Amino acid sequence: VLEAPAVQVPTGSNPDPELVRRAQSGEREAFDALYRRNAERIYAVCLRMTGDVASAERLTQDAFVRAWQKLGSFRGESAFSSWLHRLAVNVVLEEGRRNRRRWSRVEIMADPGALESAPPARDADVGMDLERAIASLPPGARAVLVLHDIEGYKHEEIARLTGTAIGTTKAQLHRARRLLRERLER
Amino acid sequence: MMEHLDEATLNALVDDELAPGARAAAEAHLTACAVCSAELAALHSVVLDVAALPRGIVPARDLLPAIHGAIDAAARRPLRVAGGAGTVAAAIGEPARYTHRTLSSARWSLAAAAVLLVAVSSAVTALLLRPRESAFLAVDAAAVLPAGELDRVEARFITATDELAQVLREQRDQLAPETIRILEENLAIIDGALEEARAALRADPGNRALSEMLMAAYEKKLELLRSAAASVVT
Repeated sequence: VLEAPAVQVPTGSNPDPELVRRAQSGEREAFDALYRRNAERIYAVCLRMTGDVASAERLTQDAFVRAWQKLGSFRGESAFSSWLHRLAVNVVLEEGRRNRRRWSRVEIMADPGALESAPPARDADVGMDLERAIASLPPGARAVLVLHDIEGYKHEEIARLTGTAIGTTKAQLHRARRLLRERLER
Repeated sequence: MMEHLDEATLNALVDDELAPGARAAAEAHLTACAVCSAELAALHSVVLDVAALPRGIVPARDLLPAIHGAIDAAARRPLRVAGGAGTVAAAIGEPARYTHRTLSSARWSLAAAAVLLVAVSSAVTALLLRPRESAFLAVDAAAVLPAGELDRVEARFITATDELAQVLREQRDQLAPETIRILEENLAIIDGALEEARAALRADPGNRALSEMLMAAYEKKLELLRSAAASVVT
């Protein structure tokens, strides 16, 4: 089972389990609170994997709608944030599989300017240049780079998730890093 | 002429994926090769910068209203329920109130209402029905049963409902929480009605009305399970 790295929340202060329990009983307000606590990270992975604001918004919505519908299957064996993140990544990749043409279209329409809503990075200019460079990568290479270098997935997990060989995901990652360096002129 | 480290090796160094022997050899090369050392440093720098990007990005607009809309739209999508229940539309936001209002009628009406109740769930209404081949297809609950046939038909109903219940157990994670709750509540109601009918029939085995009530309850249970199962067999 693919596991995203857990969000760093101090033990004992994480309200997610209680919110999940209430949401599982149908309490919409609790689900809204879970959305607010997780939306930025889910939106970020959707945006970085697609490079397209409209797609990222729609896929973020889809991920949360699916989360609501599947809450009954969440047993608390992993952090809710990890479960939700994995679900969102699946939503993005499923869409890619359903409609390969979308990936091509997204590549053309990639809108790095959309990333300007991102909070300041370690160095704001460097961060924006980097975000723009990532958004300009070919879709496959971009997805692997985002999952591996930003989200911390292992190659085995990415290969399982994308239905490709580990060698393929490594090749995509190396290509993504090479292209990033070229585009950042390093 | 010195052969430089290839791209895969440089990446494996950055990701700490080289076996000890290969790593030692690569590091030995790096101490003598300024080109590869510079390549490695540049690659490492990019990887560190990417890893340092913020995990979250604030959406340009609040997506929650659209999420609510999608959830509600899924809940309101009409469902054609087999068995004559018709097209049902209900809001997912009020399952409990809808349930209590519906359950205020007589017990047999409760069983009849079960299919309607389950239809308020988002999972059931969100997905198209795709009937699953199973034993229940051969069962005609509306038939007037000749004497002695009741046990045989009841056994077929039990087989069919057990089969569907198994489908739901295996795919429980495909159902929304409120769907599961409503489903379980209504199955309990119908099972209670079935038990009552069986008890009454034991006391009065020849009572045709009781036989028909028993079959009607089975039919409702079948419809309820079939609707729920169809929603997860996509």
